[in-house]
Amino acid sequence: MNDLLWAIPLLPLAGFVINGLAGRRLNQSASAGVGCATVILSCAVAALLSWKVVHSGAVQSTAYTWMTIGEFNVGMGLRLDNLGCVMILIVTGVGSLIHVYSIGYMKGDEGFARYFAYLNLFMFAMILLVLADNLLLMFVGWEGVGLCSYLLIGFWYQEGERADAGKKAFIVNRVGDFGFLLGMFLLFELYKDLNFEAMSGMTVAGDAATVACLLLFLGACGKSAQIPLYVWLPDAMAGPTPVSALIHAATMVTAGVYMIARLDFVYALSPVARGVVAGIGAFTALLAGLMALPENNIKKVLAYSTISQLGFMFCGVAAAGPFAGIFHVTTHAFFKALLFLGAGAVIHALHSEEDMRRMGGLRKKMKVAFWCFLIGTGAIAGVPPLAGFWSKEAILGAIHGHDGAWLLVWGILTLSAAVTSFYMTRLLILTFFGESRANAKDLEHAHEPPVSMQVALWSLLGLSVVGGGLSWVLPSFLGAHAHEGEWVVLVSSVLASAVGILGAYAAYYPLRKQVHSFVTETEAGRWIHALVSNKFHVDRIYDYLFVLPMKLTAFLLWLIVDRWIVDGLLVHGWPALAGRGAEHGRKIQSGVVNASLAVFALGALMVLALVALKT
Amino acid sequence: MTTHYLILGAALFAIGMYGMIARRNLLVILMSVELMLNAVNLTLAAYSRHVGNLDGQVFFLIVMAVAAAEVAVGLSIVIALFRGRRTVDTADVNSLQG
Repeated sequence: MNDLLWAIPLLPLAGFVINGLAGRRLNQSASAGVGCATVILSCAVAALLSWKVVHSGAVQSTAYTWMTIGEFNVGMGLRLDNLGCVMILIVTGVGSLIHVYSIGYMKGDEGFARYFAYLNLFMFAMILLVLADNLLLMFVGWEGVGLCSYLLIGFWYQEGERADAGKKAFIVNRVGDFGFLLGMFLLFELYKDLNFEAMSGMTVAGDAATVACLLLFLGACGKSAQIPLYVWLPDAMAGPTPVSALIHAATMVTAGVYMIARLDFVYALSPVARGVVAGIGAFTALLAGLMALPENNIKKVLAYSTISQLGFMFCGVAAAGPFAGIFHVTTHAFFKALLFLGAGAVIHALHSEEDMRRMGGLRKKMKVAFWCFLIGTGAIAGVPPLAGFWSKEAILGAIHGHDGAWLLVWGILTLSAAVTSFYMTRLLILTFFGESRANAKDLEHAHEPPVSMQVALWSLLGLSVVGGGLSWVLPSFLGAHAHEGEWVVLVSSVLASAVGILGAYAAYYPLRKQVHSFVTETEAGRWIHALVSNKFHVDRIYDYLFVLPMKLTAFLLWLIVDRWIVDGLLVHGWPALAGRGAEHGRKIQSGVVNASLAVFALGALMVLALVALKT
Repeated sequence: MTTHYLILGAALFAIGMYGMIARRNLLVILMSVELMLNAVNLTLAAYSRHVGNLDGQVFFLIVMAVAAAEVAVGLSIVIALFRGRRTVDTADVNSLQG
């Protein structure tokens, strides 16, 4: 029974192999069948084993010893415990829904089989990341999801910009992975073991733990798009929309949060590291929320919103262990996947139109997408009793339980919650209300999504509504104290979401003219609008700080090493030398018979002289 | 006595070598080669007599035979060349120039 654990990752891997090798020969329904069936089966196995975990404790299975170096052993082992159960059910569950949705979304795409192959490979890597029983195996999954993210962002690689976005994601993640690796080395030095269970039984010095935690958090910043490494996520929207939903909203980007929840026993040793995580998380939550405000690309609004929500999650895991953060991971997976898939339905219907300035008034044409967005927006904005309200309240409550600087974090997060509901309401108004600004031809074609897409949408819609119910089960399951809802937190968070929603409504309806004139006519308004629209110039600063020096170095290397040394000296140098030598050497071969004879006679004389001298 | 023969042989050899290098007519070059061979023959015969055995004279006969063969080959090359190029001047035969 325990060995069944291996079926969870290996089923999607089998799907990857089939679609990857035979994809060209399969027709689209066969590819889709293989791609979806493997993930759904994997989800079923995960559910079965989770049932077992709930009733009789963690499940562990080690296939073989992966490597033995001295006394250091790494097993190829999987372990499903309570935290793993929650995460694996999100990954395989939401993953299954998005696979089904993809059938409709990617229909007719040239790379259909390739798409499902990558998606299956991603599921395999993500499951490995979640189920690994040691940090090294987790890192394998960690790198695997990074690779799949790169492959899927650049899925339409014929368009240069999309391929560049893939590269950007990969390179920025390398910076984070560098931190992850160093953190892992340090943990190994401290614990002499990388198995989570063995490690959790030991304690180490706080200072060393702080350094290790901060290094690992750098890795989490890369994968989970936190300041300063968040820049790749908005660009990652170049991938197909279901990919954005699965990888860049629901699962992969939450890997950093999961990793910190998994290593909670290390973070518990270091209040400093926890403070840093919460500080960065809160700062990211606010800044990314502000960046979402003037954004006009529907997917990018959601991307910035994801970054912001990830900040909330980090604050959650930093404040009080796994529960609050992982709870928000769960509900966020539901409503953000719902929002992305809803956005996908809109984009699909409007023939790849992603600019909200050319949408509007879609409420009547696309009822399903509208309801998805309405519920999704309500959930993310924290409208009770939708899912997001409960998890956000859990995080804010957990933070409010501390004092000192934590109260500042709490304040920033509450403000971010207001910003969140503002930009989400703005998105809703721009897309679905008012007059249509789409061109007439696209609008005429606007249609309800096909069945496969609707199945996923309705399922996620349901989960986003009732997901909050988990707040009764999860705390005890993840070993946290169910904190009593403080009325300060409750009132302030509801107030924040109300202020955001009403603010957005006011800015677009009664006060539209005043806001418009403030932004366009006053000096301060223009300055603020330019600053926020340019995303606080972060990308430009990174360009000057990192990209340009790198490009300059690369250019110099190309010029000096490649062009001059390799090409000039080595590739063209040797033949030139031979050519020049031959140019001179050929003159010996004059072709004049008498000259040859003279040389011949001279040679003969020399041999003769030699013989004469010898004797 | 032997010295005179040797001086004559050396002189003949030197004249032959000069002719071989300096003249451009292939027939003259062949004749020069013959001259050199016969200079050697003369030297062989002179030494044979000087030492008092017949080894040198045997060599002399072998060289005569080889020289006959060489002339046959050389002349046929010259004839073939003349048929192809209508010339036996080495200045005109320089297609091996590098």
